[in-house]
Amino acid sequence: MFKTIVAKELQENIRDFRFVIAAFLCMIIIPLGFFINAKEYQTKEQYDRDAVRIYEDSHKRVIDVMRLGAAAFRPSSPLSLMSRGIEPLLPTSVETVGYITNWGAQTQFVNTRGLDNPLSFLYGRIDLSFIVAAIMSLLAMLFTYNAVAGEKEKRTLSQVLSNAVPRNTVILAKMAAGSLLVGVVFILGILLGLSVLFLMGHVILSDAGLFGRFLIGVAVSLLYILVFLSFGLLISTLNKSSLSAIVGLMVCWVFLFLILPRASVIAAKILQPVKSQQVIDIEKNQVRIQTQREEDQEVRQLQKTMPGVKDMDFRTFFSSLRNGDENAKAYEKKQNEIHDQYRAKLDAELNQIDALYENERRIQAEIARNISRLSPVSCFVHIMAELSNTGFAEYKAWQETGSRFTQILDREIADKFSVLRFGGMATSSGGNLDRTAPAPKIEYKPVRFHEVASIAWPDLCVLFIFGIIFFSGSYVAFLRYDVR
Amino acid sequence: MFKTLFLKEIRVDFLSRRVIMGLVLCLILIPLGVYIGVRDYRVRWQAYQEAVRLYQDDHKTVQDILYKGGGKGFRPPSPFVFLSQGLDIVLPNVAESPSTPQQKPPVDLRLNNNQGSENLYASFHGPLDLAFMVSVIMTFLAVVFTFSGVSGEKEQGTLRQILGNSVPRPTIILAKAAAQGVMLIGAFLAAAILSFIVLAVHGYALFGPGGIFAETALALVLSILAIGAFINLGLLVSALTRQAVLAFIILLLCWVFLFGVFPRLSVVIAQLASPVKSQQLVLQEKNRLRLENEKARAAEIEKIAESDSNTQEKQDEITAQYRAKLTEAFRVLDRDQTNRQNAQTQLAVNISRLSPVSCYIRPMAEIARTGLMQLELYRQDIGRFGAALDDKVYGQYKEFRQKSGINVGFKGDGSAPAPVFQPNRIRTQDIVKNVLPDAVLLFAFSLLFFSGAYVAFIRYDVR
Repeated sequence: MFKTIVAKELQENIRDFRFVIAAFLCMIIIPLGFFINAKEYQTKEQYDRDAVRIYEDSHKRVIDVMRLGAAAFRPSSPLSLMSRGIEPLLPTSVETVGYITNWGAQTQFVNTRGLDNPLSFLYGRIDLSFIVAAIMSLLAMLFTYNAVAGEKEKRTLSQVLSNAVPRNTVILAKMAAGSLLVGVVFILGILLGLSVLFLMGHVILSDAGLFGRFLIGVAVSLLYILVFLSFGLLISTLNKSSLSAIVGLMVCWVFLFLILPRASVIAAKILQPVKSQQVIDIEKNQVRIQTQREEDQEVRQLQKTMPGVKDMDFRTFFSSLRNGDENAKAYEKKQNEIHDQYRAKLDAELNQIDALYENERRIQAEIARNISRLSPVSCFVHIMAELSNTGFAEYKAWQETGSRFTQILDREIADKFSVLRFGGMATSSGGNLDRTAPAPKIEYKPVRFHEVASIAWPDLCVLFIFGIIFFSGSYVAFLRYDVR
Repeated sequence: MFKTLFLKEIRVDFLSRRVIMGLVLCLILIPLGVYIGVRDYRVRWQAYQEAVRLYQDDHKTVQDILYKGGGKGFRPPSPFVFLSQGLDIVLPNVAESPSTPQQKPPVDLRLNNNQGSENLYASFHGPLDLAFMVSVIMTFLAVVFTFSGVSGEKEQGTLRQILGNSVPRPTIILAKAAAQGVMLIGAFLAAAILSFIVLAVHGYALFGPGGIFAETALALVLSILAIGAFINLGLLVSALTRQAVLAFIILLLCWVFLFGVFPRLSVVIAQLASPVKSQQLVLQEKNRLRLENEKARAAEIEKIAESDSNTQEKQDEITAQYRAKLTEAFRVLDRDQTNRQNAQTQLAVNISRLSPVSCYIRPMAEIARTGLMQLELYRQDIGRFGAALDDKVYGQYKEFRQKSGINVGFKGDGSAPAPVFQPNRIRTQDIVKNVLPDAVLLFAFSLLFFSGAYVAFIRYDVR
């Protein structure tokens, strides 16, 4: 009986104009989106490579880095065709600010991507995440809005139920037929899209890790489509006319897709206000200047009070140091100790400011994220962005890359030379710094799958729960449905 | 007769559950969005002021710019962000000169956007501003209000009854358009009045210096035109179909295409047709030009330094020549990049104008001063600030190379007041000039859709 009803539903739906619309949209928009995003990625990747090449040509040795500053670049994600996520706001590079001194390298994140194509930010992008979240969810609802209410209107439902057909078989068959049709059309669109990527020689087809993530993205998309099919079925079983079902569905869709996710951000901003990055940067700069001033005062005091050197002028002092004078050496040692002490203090204070700020921001993002999870759309876009390396895990990873880059610069350059000041004059001693050594570099490490899984699993669970709730709801509502 | 039909449509709308729900949604969401926008602006304005104050406290003199991390020019947030957040999150909010003191002119101010990291989550889903409310919610409501205007009445059989009397068809379609327009635009204007109250409570003045009348009036006119276009589109599709459900599905697909697909496609088509280098690549190219220029300058000066006719004037002359050369090379590079970018943007804007949604979204960003005009103006302001830094700060570093070595020193007045960044404001008449073609197009869309609906209704088979 189940098979007969599924076959009937399939025949009905295939003959319907909605199937033609769905097939047309999937066959056109998915491959088109893949083509566009792959082309954009290829162009961006070429420009990224050119920028890195020009940088590396002029930054071959340590001395170049000391003179011109250092930078590490974040490449574009090849999986951005699945989801652009927060990529326009992710840093494009981490760069040193000013010279690297014995106070360590000061670095900051730079984002120039927003200026590359501002209109694309204004209008948005056609990635798989958008196609599934917006278009496929609408199609899923179009397939199911009249599954129950429509049959009631046409009076075919009472005819079906007048036979010895269990109600649960009917609803299960309707769900199965809808899922099969939308799923097949979607998979066909994906296969066409993959053919386009194959013809373009896109990297995700030659990298097992990337392709695996892509397949997971497709599986999550199918789950999301199932959620909206169930939702359509639920609303259809709760309504007596197909018109009120579709209007109700569309209002819910606007709320779930457009209003709730945005409102979650606003609620988080109200509940947990966070200082701006601009203010934090300036505060850090003030702490830096203040600490350096304090150290300077202590060094001056040392110079004025230290026996053996307090009466020297700077010429005598530096010449005594060159001649191995014990007092001058003791002064140098003491000054280095003072510097190390202030540098440790500065590092601790800056880390504290960063940690506090990051914590506040993390709480704000968590609040927003948790509220937005009330919508399956948010759950889906979160997962897709994380899988595509354009989400919050990537931001966190890039922050860590920035810190590692600073540590490398400190270890390779800043820690290897000291500055000795006396009588208003300063000399830097290279110590064991090899200025002709190759310039320090850092390799970009993309976020690993287990990190993505650890951040995205709650969204996947919630999405799954939504599916179960909606289908159970439609099941129960259909069992109680008045077919008269 | 027109009045009777008009009143009947209004009464039917008031009795409809979906219309009432739509109106309530509109009356709640629009003032809420405005409140959130104003609040957001206040927070950003405070952050901006604090940043400027902290920076100016630290950078009072030329010497401070040299030794305390370089010069900075902060972009103030727009008070009209409640109208449209536009590109605000990705626009640079600070331009920084390099913090190395011996930076050689022309100084290359780096445009940076450090507010992006504060809005990571916000960028994920987008803002809840007036542009969003109108382009998504109001246009969607327009579709919900009108999809059954003709086909729904046909299904119910009421259309046949009306036409059984001596009522001219044009009067019916005019009455329907007028009634839906009055309902929806009336609700929108009521929400706008509530929003004005929110603005007044937060200290916004409507008239006088700093008044928001011109911008909000422009935004309201554009919004009304956009809503009108979708009301007429709804009537057109309804008059072209025989079933209300079919009309709704077609309208829904049109809405998704016009709002979600077409504007995005326009950007991509422009990208493919007219590619533009990335900003990062341009910066690296500038760095390379600077290094090559410096290498050539140093070689030439070294030659002179070994001769007997070596003077500071001669070296300064060579340095000036190389600076001019570098400035010209930067100018050509920037001009080339700007021209390409403008060509790409113009192409995208022109293609996107085939959708009434794009004709609304981009101009709203310009009116709110969060669009492309703002980016252009900020770039110009930064150019002037960079020239002032070159003149008073970085250009005052003189070096004199002799056989014995190089003597580098700052020859300017280190205690002179530091150059201050002066942000300009886009003039309202420039905005009007920029958004006028889009307003005309929106009107043309409205007219076209209504004419279509009119003709389709005159030929409509009511059987």
